Amino acid sequence: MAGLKKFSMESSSNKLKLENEEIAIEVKDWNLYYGSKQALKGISMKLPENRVTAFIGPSGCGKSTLLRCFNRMNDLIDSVSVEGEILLHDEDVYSKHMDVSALRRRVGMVFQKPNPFPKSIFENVCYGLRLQNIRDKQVLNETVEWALRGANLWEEVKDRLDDNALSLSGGQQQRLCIARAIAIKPEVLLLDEPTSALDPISTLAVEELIFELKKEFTILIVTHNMQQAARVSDYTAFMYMGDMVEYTDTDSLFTNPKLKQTEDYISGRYG
Amino acid sequence: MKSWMNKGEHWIWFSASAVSVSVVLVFGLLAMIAYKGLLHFWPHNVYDYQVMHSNGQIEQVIGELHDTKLKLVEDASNIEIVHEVPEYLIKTGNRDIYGIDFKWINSRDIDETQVKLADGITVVERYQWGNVYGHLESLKVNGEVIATGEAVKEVLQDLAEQGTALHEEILHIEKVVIGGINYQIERLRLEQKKLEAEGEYDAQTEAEFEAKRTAFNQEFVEHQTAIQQLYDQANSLGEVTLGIAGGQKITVKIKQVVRFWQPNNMSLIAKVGFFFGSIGNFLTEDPREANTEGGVFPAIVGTVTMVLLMTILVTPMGVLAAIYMSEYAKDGPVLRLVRISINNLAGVPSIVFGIFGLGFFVYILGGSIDDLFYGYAAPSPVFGTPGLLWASLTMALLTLPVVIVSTQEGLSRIPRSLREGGLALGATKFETIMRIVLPMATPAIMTGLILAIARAAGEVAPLMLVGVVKLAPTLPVDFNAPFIHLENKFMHLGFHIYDVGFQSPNVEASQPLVYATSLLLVVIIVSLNLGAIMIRNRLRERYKSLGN
Repeated sequence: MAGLKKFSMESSSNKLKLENEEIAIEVKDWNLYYGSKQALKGISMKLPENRVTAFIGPSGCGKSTLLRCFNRMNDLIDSVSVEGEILLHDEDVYSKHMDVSALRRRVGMVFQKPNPFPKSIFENVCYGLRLQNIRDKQVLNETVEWALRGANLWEEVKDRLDDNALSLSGGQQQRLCIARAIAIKPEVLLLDEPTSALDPISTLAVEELIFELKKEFTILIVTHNMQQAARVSDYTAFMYMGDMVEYTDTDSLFTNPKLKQTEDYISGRYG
Repeated sequence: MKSWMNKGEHWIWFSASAVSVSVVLVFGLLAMIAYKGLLHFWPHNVYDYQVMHSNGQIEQVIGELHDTKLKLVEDASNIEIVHEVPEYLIKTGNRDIYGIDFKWINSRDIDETQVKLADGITVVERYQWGNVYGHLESLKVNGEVIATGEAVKEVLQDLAEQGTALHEEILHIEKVVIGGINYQIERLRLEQKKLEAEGEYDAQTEAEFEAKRTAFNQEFVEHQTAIQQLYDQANSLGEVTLGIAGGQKITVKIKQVVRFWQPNNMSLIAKVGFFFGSIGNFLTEDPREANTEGGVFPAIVGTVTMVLLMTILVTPMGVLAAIYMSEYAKDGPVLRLVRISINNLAGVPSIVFGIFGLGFFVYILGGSIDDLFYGYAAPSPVFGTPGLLWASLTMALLTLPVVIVSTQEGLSRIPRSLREGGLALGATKFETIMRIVLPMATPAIMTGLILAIARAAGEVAPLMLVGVVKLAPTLPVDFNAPFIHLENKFMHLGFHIYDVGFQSPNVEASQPLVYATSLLLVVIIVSLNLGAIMIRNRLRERYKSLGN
């Protein structure tokens, strides 16, 4: 548990202020409807670069829905309609001229359940590169090693890169999915409850990894686990019923919540 | 009893008995076909019957016991009483002498205790006129008797082998070499007609064509001479004389002998060897005597070629249709209508597909192709006549629903998370489908193909209309470029069964062949399926831990 201590000590020693941050994503008055039902209500927020921002809140509060807006995964659902603006480095994500595939290469995503493709470990990691028609064997090899090292998986799998990815354990599979996502070097990494299907040891490994990854990526993480949010994130947003209730640096939110609703939630009175 | 009923046990018994009945039926059917079919290849014992006719004459009948039937005969004194009297069907062979191969004898006319194995009998299988059942008497070469009695056998063995070798050589030259030359000449003729039609057949090309044609003709004549020599050689092998039942004699030219055997003197091992030899001949030889004898090789080739071609045609069509319907099409009344139509297409009687194939593929499509590309060949049609391509296409259409439905099921089973995984890495929907979803749906696609293969290989009715014939002069695949001849007519095991069983001039002789061919058809379908199932299992193994 030494690792965990290290994170919390660091995040408490440096006072973070949103005003001092470089902004990666800006959300302006964002509304989302499933048919006629409104799931996100007028959300506005600025997400800082090279930081970990956590989204917490009870089930159905819209945190995953919001996360899926950043790489337009909600496009897959026919009944969804949206209003407002999401700017990724001042570029409108939902603009008509946006190439969605290119957007998703810039905004990578890791899902709740590990979803490796039924291919070899190597092919899983370089899948995104192959999509970009990168065929140079050396580039592929180097990137795969870099990504697997980045995902803390290299030492475990370096001798069996040709094995089927499905032969890995759940925790390894999830780290493989992270490696797969970072292999295409996105600007932003979306993590949708990445540890909810994992055992405590694997969870710890992924959390350590998140801490490492924020040096290179802007990380947005949805989690049900408030301790996890407190451990890994620099900023935390608390959402409730489609509203952004409170959004500030993690320390302030957990030690000194401004709103009663937030306090009730983090102290476990509901949710 | 009541509590037993209340527990619902009787339903378990009911359903279990339904399963048992099905299993018994399936295995009973297979066992019967296998028994009757394989029995055909076994060297049967030949018996000697002394038949007493009503006029007091005694007739000797020598042959294999083929079948037994009970005949109802009225009692001589009382019409009310009916006796069941067994009648025996004896295969006597010697068709050229007796007129028919088979003879019924009534058990009342023979003394069953006196029936004995015909001692030292020889059965000679001939290329024409069926088998001879008789005793070897003498063997003549060039008019001189060189062996008599027991000694004939060894000499005959030797000569018959030479005869078979010559026969094969002749067949090879006729079919492959001369067949190839004929094919080239025909191509040359069509090419010439084509150039003539286009008005480009000038004096120079004419000279070229003439030169080619002369070369081919010369080659043809050379081979013809070679064949003539082989024929002369075969003719000079001599002839063997056998004494048959009734005291007559049959003389058989040795070049006519396929093989001969003495069933009553064979050891068990020799019989087993003969059995497998016969199966080998059945699989590799061409049919003879209006399909009632010989092998089924062209039908095997035809069936397998047609099925494989059908698979190649139906797979892309069915898979692409399924992809569109389950991945792209918007759910609505139109899609539902299309789904219902496809499901119902599977229930349309196959002969209807045959009619459609004939009307649309052969006449309209084939006719148009002929008009457009083969106008010079007129009036003889090239594609405007039933053939392999149209038969395969018709079968592909017939099996299309099965492939579509099972592919759709496979696609819908791929977890959403994997599609999202692909999309999240920047793949387009098409890339995700092609690289992730479709490979994982291959086991389901294979299931569809297995069902399609089983159906197409066993179908007869539509094939009769779109390309299958009783006897095809050439195989649909051979050594002449382009190796597969899509416009050729072909033979098919299913139709062969129908033809041999019901259109044959010699019903009794062909009956065992019907069983043997049926067995072969089942074996071919099962092995095609086993191949597909093995591929499917390997694919399943690869994707097995998915979705849990």
